[in-house]
Amino acid sequence: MYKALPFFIFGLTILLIPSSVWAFGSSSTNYTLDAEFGNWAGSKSSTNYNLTDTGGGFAVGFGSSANYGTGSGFQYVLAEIREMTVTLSSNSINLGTLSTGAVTTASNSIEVDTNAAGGYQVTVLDDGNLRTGAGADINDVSGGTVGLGSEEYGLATSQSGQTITQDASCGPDPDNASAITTSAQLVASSSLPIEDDATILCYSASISGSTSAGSYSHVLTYITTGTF
Amino acid sequence: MKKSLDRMLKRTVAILVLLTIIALPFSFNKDVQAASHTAISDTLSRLQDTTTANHTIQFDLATAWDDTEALVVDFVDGDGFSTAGFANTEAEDFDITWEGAEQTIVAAGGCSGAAIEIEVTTVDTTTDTFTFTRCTGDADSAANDTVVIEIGTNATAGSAGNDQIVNATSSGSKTVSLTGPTSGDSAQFALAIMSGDQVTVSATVDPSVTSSLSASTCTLGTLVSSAINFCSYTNTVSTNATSGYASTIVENGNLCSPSVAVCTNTVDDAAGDNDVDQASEEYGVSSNDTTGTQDIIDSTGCDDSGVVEAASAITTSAQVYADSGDGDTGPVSGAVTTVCHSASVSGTTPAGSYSHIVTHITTGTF
Repeated sequence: MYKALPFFIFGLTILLIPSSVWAFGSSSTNYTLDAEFGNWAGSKSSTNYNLTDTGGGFAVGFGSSANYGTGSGFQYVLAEIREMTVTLSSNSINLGTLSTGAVTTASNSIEVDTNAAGGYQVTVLDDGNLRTGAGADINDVSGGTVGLGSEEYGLATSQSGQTITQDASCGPDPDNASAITTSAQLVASSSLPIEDDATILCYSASISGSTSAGSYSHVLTYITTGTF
Repeated sequence: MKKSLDRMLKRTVAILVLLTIIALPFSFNKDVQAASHTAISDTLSRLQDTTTANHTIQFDLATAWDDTEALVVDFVDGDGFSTAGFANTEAEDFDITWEGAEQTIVAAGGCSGAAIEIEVTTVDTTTDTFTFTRCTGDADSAANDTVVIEIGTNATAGSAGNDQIVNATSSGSKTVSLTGPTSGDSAQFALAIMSGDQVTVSATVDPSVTSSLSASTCTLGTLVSSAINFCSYTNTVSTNATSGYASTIVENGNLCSPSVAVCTNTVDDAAGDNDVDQASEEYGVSSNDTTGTQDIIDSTGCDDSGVVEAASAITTSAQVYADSGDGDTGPVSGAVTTVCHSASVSGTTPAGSYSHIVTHITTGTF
């Protein structure tokens, strides 16, 4: 028995030397935590789905504030499912009957949820100017605001720091707006994962006495891209 | 004493054996050496479900893309993406750059030995998977190089692409995976497919036209054979009629004395030469709308400086004297036209007080 003891101790030591990072490892520099304690976990799939899951973790889930976004739990670290959803509150904006006596405004919103580490960007572009079937159009806004009695039309966003100018109130003067073009312009963004990030999109127009009568329309396309 | 030591040793050995059994599974855990690409994005031209879209996939390589290594882009089959039309024989549907350097994309089996070739090795339209392989012997990328893959008609380097991926059939978050190019490298990203990615903006501008005469009387004064008498007023028109407007003038009868209703004498209308000559019994009207050609002749000044003044006869039929045609077609705001009435008499023109009424009608063409 005495002779066997050193072999047991030696064997145990060899086995316990961590030759690699274990399941519950971590790293530094930019820090990666590769696992957590869970009661059950696994990877499942069928023809129509793939699923990884864990249970029993503490405080799992996604959380964010103005300055951070974080995902807690095994799924967010090892088997995080990249996600991004975007919702437009309305797919039509009717500015109604434009007049020389008022700047008309209308709004909808776009809401983004994503766990993309680098956040998201929403761009907007149009298929041409606001126009009639006969070829008349309403001029794009110039100078940053839609002026009363001027033939101008444009878009503003509730977010600051975008290509499209900001108008936090959408309605009261001044009616800030940027021209919408056929080139994509940034209208909303986040540099972090974010939840329920709603941006108000404000459309404003005014006409002059020489703006052609008619029914005007154009189509805007919103593209959201996550950076994972 | 010895028995006690033996018992202690036996217990110790038993504990060590137990610990060994517990620790054994952990000792076989090995590092997963997989690395993940970073800063991954895919910008689509459309996010609408079941709609064709171009893809621009960008990411920073976790490790270098060496020759013979393959990168796989996999759109989850169950999400309903359709890659029908793509094939590994159609390299034109793909562009790939790293660090901004355009790589030459070749069809399967097309590696020629040129320096910067990437082969479209396989396209599986069932699993919606694309495999791109760096050709043998070609230069490796550096680790962390930024790779951009364009799939669709946005792939315009060389021959332009002519196929596009059809978006998933339902809205929501859809996962796409990248595998390789270095063994163990992988990444996933998500696309936000929408049930409606477009907004139709509409507005209406109601039709309008206004016309305002500066005066409702025009007094020529006492006509004499030694001069041409004039009077004038303006018609100011604003309209948003797309095709502009036309203003016409019509009379209720010739310039008569004592009145049109009881017309004993008239001043003759301007003759067909469209002017009023001094000392001739003539009366007519002109306008200063010199753009285009109207029924009423253009004014030559509407003053008394000459012996001849352009003028057309006013009749009971409407004649256009101002419009927005011929070069100034379209809406106008505050377009002012001066209407000039002129008359002269001869020695035989009966004395009397002459008058008539002219009516102005402005019509917009919307």
